[in-house]
Parts: sequence; C-alpha cells; structure tokens
Amino acid sequence: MAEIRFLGYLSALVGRRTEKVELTKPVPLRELLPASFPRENIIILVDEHPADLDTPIRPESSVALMPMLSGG
Amino acid sequence: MKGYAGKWLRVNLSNGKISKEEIPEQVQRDYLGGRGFAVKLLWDEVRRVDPLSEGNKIVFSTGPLSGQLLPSAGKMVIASKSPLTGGYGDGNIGTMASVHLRRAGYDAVIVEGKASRPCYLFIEDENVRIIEAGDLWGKNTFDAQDLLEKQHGKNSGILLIGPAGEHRIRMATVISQKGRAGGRPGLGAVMGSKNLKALVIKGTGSVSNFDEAKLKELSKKGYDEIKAKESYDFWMKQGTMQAFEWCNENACLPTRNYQEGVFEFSKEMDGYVLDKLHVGRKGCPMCNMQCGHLIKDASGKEAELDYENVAMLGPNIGLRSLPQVALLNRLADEWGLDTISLGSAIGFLMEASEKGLLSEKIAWGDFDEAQRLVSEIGRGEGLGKLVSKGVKVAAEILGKGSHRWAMHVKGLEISAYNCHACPGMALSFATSPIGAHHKDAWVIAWEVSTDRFSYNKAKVEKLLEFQRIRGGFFESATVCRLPWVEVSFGLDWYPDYLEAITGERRSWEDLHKVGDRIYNLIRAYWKREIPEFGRSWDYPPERWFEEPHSHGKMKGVKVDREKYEQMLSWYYELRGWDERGIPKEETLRALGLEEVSKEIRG
Repeated sequence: MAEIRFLGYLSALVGRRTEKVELTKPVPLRELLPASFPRENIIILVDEHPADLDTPIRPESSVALMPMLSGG
Repeated sequence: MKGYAGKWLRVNLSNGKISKEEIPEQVQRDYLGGRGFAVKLLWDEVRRVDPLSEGNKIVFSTGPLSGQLLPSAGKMVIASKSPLTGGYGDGNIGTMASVHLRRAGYDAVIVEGKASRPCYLFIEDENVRIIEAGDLWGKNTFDAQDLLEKQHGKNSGILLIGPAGEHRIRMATVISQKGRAGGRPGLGAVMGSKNLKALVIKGTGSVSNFDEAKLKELSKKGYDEIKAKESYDFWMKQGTMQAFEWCNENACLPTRNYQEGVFEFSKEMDGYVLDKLHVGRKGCPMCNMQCGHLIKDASGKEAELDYENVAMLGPNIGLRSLPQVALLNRLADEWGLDTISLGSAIGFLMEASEKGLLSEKIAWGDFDEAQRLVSEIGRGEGLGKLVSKGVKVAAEILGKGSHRWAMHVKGLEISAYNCHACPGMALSFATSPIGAHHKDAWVIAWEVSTDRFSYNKAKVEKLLEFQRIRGGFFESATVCRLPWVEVSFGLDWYPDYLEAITGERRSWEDLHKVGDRIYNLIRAYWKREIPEFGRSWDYPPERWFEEPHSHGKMKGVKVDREKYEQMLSWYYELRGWDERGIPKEETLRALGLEEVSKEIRG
C-alpha cells in the first residue's frame, strides 16, 4: 500500500495526517489528491526524493506533502 | 522625509548629556532604518573598543514601517558591538517600545557611556530623563516590568534586562512584555555593562505619513488578506511550532547537541501537543498572527513557547516534555537569557559530561539539572561560568577536541536547524552577518524541495536572494517577516506601504541595493574590529563535516567539505568579495562606500 503523509496546514485541508492508498499500478500523485489541494508553495517528496504532482506513485511508495515553511 | 521622525535621540550615561540630532535624508534613503541605521552608526562611532566597556554604544532603531498600523509592524532592531562574537551584533524584537518611540518623535535611540549607578532611561516625547534604578537592579524581567508599569502606566513601551544582563553574561538578551526577546549576541550584557536596566518609552504624538488615507486602505486590505490565507487557521493553532514536525520529518531537528536530526519522542511534544495544551496567546503589537503560545508549565504557571525554544530546550538537551520546556523557557526570559544559546550551552555541558570531560554528571534530559544550569549560567557561577561566554569560549577552555561539537558560527550559537543533510542551510548559518542565526536566510525548505544533497550555484543564489529580502529589507524597514514567510503574504505589498508612508516609490532592485550596502558595511565592520577576520570565520562546526547522523533517514549523511568550499567561493563571487571574504574595492565603491574600503585596507 502507498502511504501519503500530510504535514502542517495541508493535514487540516484534507482532514487527516496520513492516508493509505491501495494501488495496483502507478498513478500520478495529483489523481490521489483532492481537486482543491494547493499546487504551489508545497514540498513533495516521494520516497525521500523531490517530486511533483505528476510523479507516478507506485503501490509501495511513501509520499510526504508539506508546506514550504520559512522557518520563523 | 515623510514617514520618518527624521531624528535620533542620543543619551550619554557617563555625563548625562541628552541630545536630539537630525538624520540626513541621504542616510534615510541609503540605509532605510533599523539595521541600516544601526550599522551606519556603529561603523561611524564604535571602533576597536571592548564591547563591555564604556566606549561601546547600543542602538535601538526603527524603520519607516515600524510602529505603523500595518501587518506585524511592531518591531525594533537593537544593535551593538557584540560581547559574544566581537563583531557586529543585532536582533529584532516585537515590542510596544517600537510603537511608542515612533510616537515620541524618534527613529532611534543611541545610548553611550556608562552610568555610575544602576539607572533606566525614561522617554516621554520631548521629556527625556535618566532615572535611578537601584530598586530594580537584581529583579527579574517579569517583576521589573510590573514595577515599571506600576510607576509609568501600562501604556508604555518597556525594554529591559534581567539579572543575566546585569552580570554581563554574554548570552544575555533584551526582554520586553514578559517574553518578547531580541539581541541574541549578548546585547543584554551591553546594557548591563552600562548600568542600564531599562528603557521606558511613552509617545503621545503620531508619525506623519505621506498619504494617510492610502496607508489606511492598504493596511486593512493587508490584514484581511492575511486572515484569508488558507494556511492562516493552522498557523493560529501551531504557529512556528509547525516547524517541529517538519524538522523531525526532514531529519534536521537538533537532537542532543546536534548529534542527530530526529528525536525519538518528537510526537510527545510537537505542534499538535502544543495545541492541546494551549491556554492563551501572546505576541507583538500590530500583529494579527501572533506566534507566542501559552501553556501551563511544569510548575503550573503560564509560560510561552515557540519552535526555537522548544527545539533548543527540548530535543537538543534530550528533554521530552512541553511543560518542562515551558518552565525552562520562562526562567530564561526572567533571567534575560537567549533561549537558543542557552539550549546550546546546556547541550554542550551534557555532551561534555557524557564524554567524561566534566567531573559532574549531567544526563541528557535531566530536568532538575537543566533548571539549576539556567540560574548558574545567569549568574556565571559553577558550571554556568564555563559556558556563560558562549560555547566557543567554553570549548577553548575545556579543550580535548570539544571545539568540534561546540555548535556556533563566529561565536553565536546556531539556531534550531541541524544541517548535516542541508549544506545550503549550513552556508546560510555560516554567512549570516551576526553569526549563526536563521533570521537572515532560511534556505532549508527550498533545498529540501529541490535537491538537498546538491552543492550547486543556484542554491547559493537562492541564499543570497533570501539574505537580501530577510536580512536586508525586513531588518531595515523593520517589520516582521513572518506574514511573508509563513502565510505567503505577498512581497509586493511592501513597496506600496513604503510609497504611502514616504511618498517615494522604490523598486525591489533599489531596496536590494540598500540591503547589499548594509551587508557590506556589516562585513567591513567585522574586518575592521577583528583584523584577522576572513574566510576561516565562515564555516559551520566540524561536527557537520565529520560526524554523520547515526540513525534515521539521513543516517551516514554529513556535509562534504570540498563542495562546501566551492559554495562558499560562489557566495563570495556573487557578493563581490575576494577569496578571503573581504569586500572588493569596486563592490564598496558601487555602493557609495569608498571611505569604508580605504579604512579596511589600511
């Protein structure tokens, strides 16, 4: 199962901090997110590597979505 | 120029002389205010003196945006020659003193000399007095704030030091309103060295702006836009503490004196836990996104938390309880100690104990010992004496290779981001103009979002861009950067605000030139005050080069020294500095600093 983790305000937007997704084939990340999900000023890491919304998510992928914090 | 009082107040504590001086319009344009005014004054007037001597001066400076009814504009810069680093030192603070100083008709206050007895400075518009403070000396910052408010009324702007500043502890800072702090590089000790306990400022006038109606309209729109941001509600729940989860996720949470970047108990004390414990909020004037969260501390009193103090007094010393961290933070504020340097100092002592370099046993996470160390550091006694001049000096005294894990740059302790796996952020700390601080450039998120392991020139260019905006513009306009950095409030608002205030339209290119002028003058200041200053001062601690993380997702990762050298050279090239890190003559000439060039070249 793929795992998607939402950090910061992104978790509040989707209403959860973690989501497990059953996949049988790679799917672009954007198809796994709500249409209203922010497209800018976010950091996307797939298996610890920088990625984007078109990155294919494999059944065993680990995805972290986090705000582009600027550190106080 | 409109939007400025156009004068600074000078107070000599040695002879009691008080004067008001015009600020040339050219200085207002070339340096904008805040940090710009401060470094201009220090360059012109404070040379080659002991920072804790009568010859040093301390500047309390605002900018054209300070104290205005604008988003998060209740800020002020405090600057001096630093007793912690020996170079230029400053810090910004959110305080009613900023608002009142502007209303009293001054853009800055310069305090020089040394009073023969403890005193405080009282400023009420034209009425300026030096008042005896024998009854305040020895009081902590909370009690002294109460006494001064009782004497002068709550509608006052008060800046003060605690016992740590009185004892000239070099990590003593300046406190306002029981928890707002500024002046990390020992500026509380500078006040203490002058026998100056506090400034009490009451202003009854107003700032004369170019277009008040336009400014009012822009102000309302700005506040409304901030509240409408989709990240705003979450910000109000967690504030800067959302960085706690973020840093642990990205393995940059300082843990046990920066040995690791992941804390195994992080979920017991992250922003979600803070939200559950939340009992109130504190912040700076003019702010609608206040970042100080109050919880009940381990003794049951209300205490304030934000990310930096939680990370440094929590994971960095192995402590896993927010109420315990809150108590340490409150004690630090009462003593007038900088919480970042304090957390680093306690972490240094705990590691020294673990390595058998001290006869005393101080275990990681020992809350009772940590409390004891706060007061010992505040007094400069016992083990506190070893670290009270900062971890750089402590390592020089302790020896045995401890300089490798004394976590500082230029003598200023590193704020709460572990950079084994963030070379761009390591360079940000290393090139910060006051020593290791995050306020000038926070490139870490950008590098995590692109390629954190790369050492490319684009990363250095991004660092410079942030320095120009954060350390150049925000510190000299003297307004808080958090609306921009935390809820994406647009930068385009700021030239509009400046135009409504001053009547002059300034491009970002022009404002960046102001920032570059300030950065180069600060760099020249370091060089003039410390003749041996140069490239070797622009490196992070050996730990980041030599000791990789032992576990977590960044296990085995450390900064590559050769590649770091290349990035540092790129940084100098982009800044127009030579390979030693000294501003080139043509760079200074292009900024109107020809005389500065002559002076640092002898």
